Amino acid sequence: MRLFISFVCAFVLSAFLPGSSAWAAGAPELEAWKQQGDSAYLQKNYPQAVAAYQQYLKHNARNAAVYYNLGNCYYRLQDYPRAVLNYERTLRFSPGDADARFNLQLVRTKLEDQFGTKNEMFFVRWMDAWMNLHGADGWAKWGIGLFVATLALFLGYLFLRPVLWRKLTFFSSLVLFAFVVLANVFAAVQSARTEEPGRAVVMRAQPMRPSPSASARKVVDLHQGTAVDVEDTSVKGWVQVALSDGRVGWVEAAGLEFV
Amino acid sequence: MKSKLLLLLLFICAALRVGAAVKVTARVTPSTVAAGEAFKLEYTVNAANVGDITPPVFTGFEVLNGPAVSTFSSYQMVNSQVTGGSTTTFTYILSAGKAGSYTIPGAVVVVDGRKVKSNAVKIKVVKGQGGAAGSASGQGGVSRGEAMSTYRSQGKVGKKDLFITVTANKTKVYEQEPIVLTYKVFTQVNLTQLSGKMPDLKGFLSQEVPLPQQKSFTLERVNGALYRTTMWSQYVMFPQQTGKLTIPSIRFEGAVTMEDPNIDPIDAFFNGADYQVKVVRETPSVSVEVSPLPAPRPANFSGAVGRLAIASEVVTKTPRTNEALVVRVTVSGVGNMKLIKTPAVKFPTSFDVYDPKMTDRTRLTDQGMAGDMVYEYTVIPREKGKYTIPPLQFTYFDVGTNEYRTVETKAMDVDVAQGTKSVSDSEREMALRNSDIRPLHEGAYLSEAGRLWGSMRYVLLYVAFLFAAGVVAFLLRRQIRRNADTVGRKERMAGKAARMRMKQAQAMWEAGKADRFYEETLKALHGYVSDKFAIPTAQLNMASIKSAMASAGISETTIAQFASVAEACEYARFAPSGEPSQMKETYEQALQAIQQVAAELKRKKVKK
Repeated sequence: MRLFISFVCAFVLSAFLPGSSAWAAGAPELEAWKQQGDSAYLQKNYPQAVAAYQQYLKHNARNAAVYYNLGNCYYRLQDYPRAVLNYERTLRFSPGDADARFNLQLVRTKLEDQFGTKNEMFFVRWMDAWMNLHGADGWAKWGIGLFVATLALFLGYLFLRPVLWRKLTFFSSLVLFAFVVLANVFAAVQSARTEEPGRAVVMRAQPMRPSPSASARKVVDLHQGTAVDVEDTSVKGWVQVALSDGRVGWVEAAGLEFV
Repeated sequence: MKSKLLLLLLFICAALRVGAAVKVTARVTPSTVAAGEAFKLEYTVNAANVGDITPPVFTGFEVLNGPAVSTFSSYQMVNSQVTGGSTTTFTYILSAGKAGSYTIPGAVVVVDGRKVKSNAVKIKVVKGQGGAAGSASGQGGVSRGEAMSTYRSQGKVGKKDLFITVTANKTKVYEQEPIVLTYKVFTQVNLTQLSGKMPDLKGFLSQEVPLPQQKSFTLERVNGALYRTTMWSQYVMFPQQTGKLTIPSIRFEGAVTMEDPNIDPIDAFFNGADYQVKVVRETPSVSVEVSPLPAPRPANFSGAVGRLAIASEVVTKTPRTNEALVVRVTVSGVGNMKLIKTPAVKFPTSFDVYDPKMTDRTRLTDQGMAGDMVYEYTVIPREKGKYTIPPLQFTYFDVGTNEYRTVETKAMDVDVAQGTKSVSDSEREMALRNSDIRPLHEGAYLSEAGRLWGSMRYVLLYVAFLFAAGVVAFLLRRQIRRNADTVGRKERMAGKAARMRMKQAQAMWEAGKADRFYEETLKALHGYVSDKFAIPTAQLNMASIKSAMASAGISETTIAQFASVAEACEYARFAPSGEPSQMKETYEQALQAIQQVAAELKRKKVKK
């Protein structure tokens, strides 16, 4: 019995420890690239830092911290469109990164385009902000934690004697279970956003048009660094995008870079 | 000549046709040499897998060395894209016999099994000093570099062998009008070191034009003698005072490598025949006449001197109330850009105006500072409406026409729409604009995405925890059941245990041990009640016994009987009378009390 319990404990612990063997293999060299980039940045040698971070990302394109640092380099080099692109990528892999969110806001004030925000219901905005506190794995961990709490409360309901305690534990375990489901929904949404971010940054100024044709009239001029939502990529060479203020139109795919 | 050119073109075309990717480029350095002097001819191939080279016939040249093959790989970053490649270079050291213009035809290089032909190169050979005598040092001179064979390396270093000149592009200027000073080195000896800096001058604001660290020498003939010359340094001077100003002479200190002709050849072999000679050269001073800007100065003179233009634009396309509105003013051209006063834009009074931000996009050229000075004005309109920002006038002194000029920007129309943001929003916005980015994420900051969610591990975690909870529930239930069983067993066994104890008591009575007899009897009574009614021994007293019996439905008389026996035992324990008859009586009463309780409990159970 005791052996069995210790086995379960070991399994649970190992699940939380980072490190599949494939990831651990190339780590020291990659860390060296990152450290080289960090020290170059601190010495204000930004082009060299950019080169080092790009080397890192060539081998591991999912590290949010490296994207963030690369964004900082481009900000210092006053290459704001690329800074936006890299902060967007940071948020793709780590939506809860408050620093990246702040820097992105700051860079946006330096851009040509200042489109407002769409008028949304307040709870849609709140829900989105809440969901963006964590990435898929963050919510997955919340899910596990809440599930454990749910189980503990349910055991309390099963074995406690006083009726008041039994009622309290029963209903709170029900509420917590609802949160377990919610955390998993959030994790699913964030995971989908990470795999298919559906965001792009304008890297070459170009007009947005109502239809995918160069002869169509223009809706508005888009400038470098403007981030847009990708709506439709089915037309070759064109992408349907939505601006932050909700306007939708077509731009040439060549002038965009996907997050 | 024409046919030769045609042939050349054909060759170039042929080389191009072979493939744009692989190219062989021929280059001579320097492009002008003295007769008898060694020069370098390089064929550079932009590929790694390079075979042999077939050089052209070098008519009129002597091959001193070569081909020397070197390969190197390089990585560079252009527009943040890292590109790389490797190149192979074949180097020949040649020397020309006679003065004249020569064309060296292309060489053929085998690249990946294909033959690629290089371009032809031209070289100009001028008459050397004393003919071919300069190249006497032969192989040694060549190995030290292509530019050294004509250096005089023996004797003293005289004023004529090494001198530095200074030239100013203008000597009569207006205040703030830049003067470019060029320091040029003329040498016939092997100059290995040179240093000399412009001191801080009171009347000038001086800036050094950045020149390449590696100096390249060119040949120049001065008073019939051939010199190697290079532009050593260049300064742009902005006069800050008027009148006759003097730029003092600069003291240059240098070192020249010479050879000792008298040294023993064997000693020279081991220690070298070279020695260093320290030289000091002072440049002549330059006097400049700086005239004040003509009076009267216009009232709104900006202090700018040069050739300038001004432009302005509203950067924010859709201005709204309580949102930042940016107006950009750009002063561009050539002049004393850094000393220009920030132009004052007149904004409507209902706008909150913040300090303008200046961006310097100028660079130092031999004309002065050239480029753009960008001033960005951030304002926040508080009320909606149509506003006009009046034209901005900018007065500067034009050095082309020597008069003051006023240029102006166009008036800017701003249509401010009603925004949704509040005053505090706009304050937050301004705070954001004035802040800096957050610091780097340093160290092992492993925010890897998508490792837990959706993995098998994640599902198994849920299963494991559910299973663990099940195990806990199972264990708890079993424990409870086991506890319940103990009570039941005790209850069932209570009568038996009491009988055992009573037997013990009887033995004591027969042995005449009165105190032990009462003790055992009391134990039997207490133990029976404790087991039967599940009262822990710690809580066992007369009150708890009575209440437990009462709640179990035992009759008053039986309870009283039980209590009196127990009390009698307790009393007798501490004051034993020792009378056997009394002990017998107590024994029978105790047995009766236990039997009575048992009987009543049995009756209850049957009723149920």
